[in-house]
Amino acid sequence: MQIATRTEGQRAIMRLTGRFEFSAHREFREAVERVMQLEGIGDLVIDLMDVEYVDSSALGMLLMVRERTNSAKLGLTLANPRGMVRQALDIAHFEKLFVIT
Amino acid sequence: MDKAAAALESSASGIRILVADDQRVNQLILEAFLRKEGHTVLVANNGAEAVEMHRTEHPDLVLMDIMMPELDGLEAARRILADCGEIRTPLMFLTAINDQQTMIEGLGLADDFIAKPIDLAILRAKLRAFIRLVQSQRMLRDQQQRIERLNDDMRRESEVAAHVMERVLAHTEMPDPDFLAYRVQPSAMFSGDMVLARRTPGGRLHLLLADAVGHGLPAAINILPLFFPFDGMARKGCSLATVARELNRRVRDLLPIDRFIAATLVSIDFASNSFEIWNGGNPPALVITEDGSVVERIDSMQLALGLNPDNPALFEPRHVYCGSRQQLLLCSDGIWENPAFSAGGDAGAAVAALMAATEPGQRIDALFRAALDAGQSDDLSAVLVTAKTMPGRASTPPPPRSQSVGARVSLQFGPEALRRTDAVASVLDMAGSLGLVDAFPALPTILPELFSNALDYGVLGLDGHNKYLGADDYQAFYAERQRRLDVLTEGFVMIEIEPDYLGDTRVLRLNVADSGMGFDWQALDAAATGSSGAERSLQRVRGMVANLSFNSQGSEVIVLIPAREDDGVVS
Repeated sequence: MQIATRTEGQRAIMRLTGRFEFSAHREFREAVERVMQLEGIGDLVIDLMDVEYVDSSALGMLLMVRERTNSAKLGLTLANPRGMVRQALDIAHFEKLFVIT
Repeated sequence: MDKAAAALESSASGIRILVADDQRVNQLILEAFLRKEGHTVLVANNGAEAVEMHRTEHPDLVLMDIMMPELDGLEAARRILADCGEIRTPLMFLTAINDQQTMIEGLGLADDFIAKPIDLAILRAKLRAFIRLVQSQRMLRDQQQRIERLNDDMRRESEVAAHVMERVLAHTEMPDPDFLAYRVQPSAMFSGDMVLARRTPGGRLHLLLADAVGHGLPAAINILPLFFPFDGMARKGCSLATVARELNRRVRDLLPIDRFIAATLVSIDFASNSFEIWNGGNPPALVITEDGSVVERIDSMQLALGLNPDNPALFEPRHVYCGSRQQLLLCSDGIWENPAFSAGGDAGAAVAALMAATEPGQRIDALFRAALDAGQSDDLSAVLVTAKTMPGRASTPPPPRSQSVGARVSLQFGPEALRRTDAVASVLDMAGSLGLVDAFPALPTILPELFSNALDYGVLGLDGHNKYLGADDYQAFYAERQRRLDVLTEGFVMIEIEPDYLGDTRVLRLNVADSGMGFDWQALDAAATGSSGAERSLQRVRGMVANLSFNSQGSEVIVLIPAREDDGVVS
C-alpha cells in the first residue's frame, strides 16, 4: 500500500492506494505518527478512494487512529470508500464510530 | 571437533585452514607461513584425506593442490562441496597447471587460485579477503542457528497452545449434523474463527460464529476468552441478548483497542422453528429455502463484539421464523471476501447462486470447495442450520378443540372497521396483554399473512397471481386494493385466537375466516412453491405451524401455532 500525505490549511489528508491490510501496519502507523507531529493540524482525513481492499486488521488500525485523534482532540474523517471497502465498513457498522463521507 | 568448538579455536583474525598437498616441502612452507600469520593449520596428504578432515574438523578455508595421488584436487573439491550445507566452505586451489580446461573446471568449484610457486605476499593479500568472507559466514551461521532455535521454541509453544485450544473446543456441543452442519478451516495453524454451540436447560440451542481480527495465533488467543462465558451462560439458560452483551463486555475489557471480534449469535427453538439472531460485524446471515432461494437476509446489526457501548438495547436480537426444512446460513468474512464469491462485486448473490445450484445436504461442502479452489487467504467458517419439518399438512376438517384452557379472543371486522382500523394490531394488542405473544412468538408473523390473504383475496376478490411480479404490478395491485377497499359495502374478516392442546403439546389455535369465495386449498400440497401471492404466503405459514387446515371451500383457515420452549432461567 502507498500513503501520500498532504496538508490543506488545518487539514491533513492521507491518501492510501492499494490493499490496506496487515502487511501495511508499520508504514501506516509511521505515516499517522508523522501527521500527529505536524503543527497546527485540526483534522485528519483518510482518503480511501484508491483502496481496493481492507481486511479486519486494517479496520483495527483505523480504530487505533481514532484513539489517537480522540486523545489529541483532532477531527477524523474516512473519505470516499468504494466497492468492497464500503461494504466492509458497512458490515462493521463503522459509521457508528467514524465520520464517513 | 564440533563447529562451535572449531569456531572458538580460531580467533577473530586467525582462522582454521586445511592445507591439502602431497609434497612435503610445500606442506612445510605453507604451514610455517600460515602459523606465523596467526592461523591454525591442518594438513592432509592427498584428496581423500582432505575430504575426510573437512568432514571431521570443519576448517574455515581449504587450500588444495590439484595434482594429488589417491584423489585429485578437483574431485576432492567436488566431494567437499557436496558435504557442505547451505554455507560453503571457501576453497582455494594451489596449482602449477597451465591447462586452460583444468583452470575453468577448477574455478567452477573453488573461490580462487594461487599459482605455484607460491608468492607469499600474494597469498597474504588473498587470505585477507578470505578472512572477511569467513567472518561473515560465521555470523551467518550463528544467525541461522539462532533462527532454528527460535523456530523450535515457537513450534513447541504452538503445540502447547494448539493442545489447549483443542481441549477447550472439544467441549462444545455439536448436535445432530442433520440439522446443524458446520466447518472451520484455518488459514494457518490456528484459527481466528470459532463456532460454538450449547443447549440451554429449556432445550433451545445457542450458537456462536465468531471471527477475530487477523488470523493465526494472535487471533486464536483473542477469540478463546469467548468460550467460557458463552458456554456457561448458555448452560444457565441466559437469553441471547444477555450473552451477546456479556461477550461484548469481555472483549472490550480484555483485548487491545485495535482488536475486536465479529460475531453472529443465534438461539434456536426447534419446536417452533423460531430463531433469534444477533449479528455484529459478520456478513449477512441468509435464510434459504430447500430449492435454494434466499427468503431473508439478516445483515450486520451492530458493531463487532468489543466495540459496542454497554447498552442493552444494542443486543436485542431479531426474530426470524424458518419454514419446514428451510436453512439458516452463517459465514465469516473469509467466505464472503473470498475471490470465489467477491469477484463479481456482490458476494451475497454469488453465495445465493451456489446455494441454489446445490442440494441442501451438500451446501457447506460446496461453499468450502469453491473458496479453497479460488485460494484461501483468511480463516473460513460457516454454519448451516436446517429447520425441522413441521407436520402442518393442509387438512379438513380441522382438529377438534380439545378443551377450553384460557381466554378466547374473537373479533369480526366489517367494511367500516376494515377501512378505519388496523385489525392485525388490534388483535395482537389484545393477545399481547393476555401473554399470548410471549408464549407463541410466531403469532405476530403468521397473523398478518393470513389476514391479508383473507382481506385481499377473500373479501376484496383481488387476483393474487400478479402480486410480487414486478414493481409496477405491485403498485397496480395496491392501487386496485385501495380502490376496492374504499367502496366496500359488505363482507367481513373474522379472527379468533385461543390457547389449546394438540395431544400434549401446547398450541395457539388461530382461526381466520372471511366472507369470500374461498380457494382450492387442496392444490397447495401439490405445489412445492406457490405460484400466487396467497399460496406463497400459506407455504410460509405452513412451515411455522403444527397444523394448517381449511374448511371445505377454503374461506376459513385454522392453524395451530406451537408454544415457545421454556427458556429456563433467564438472568
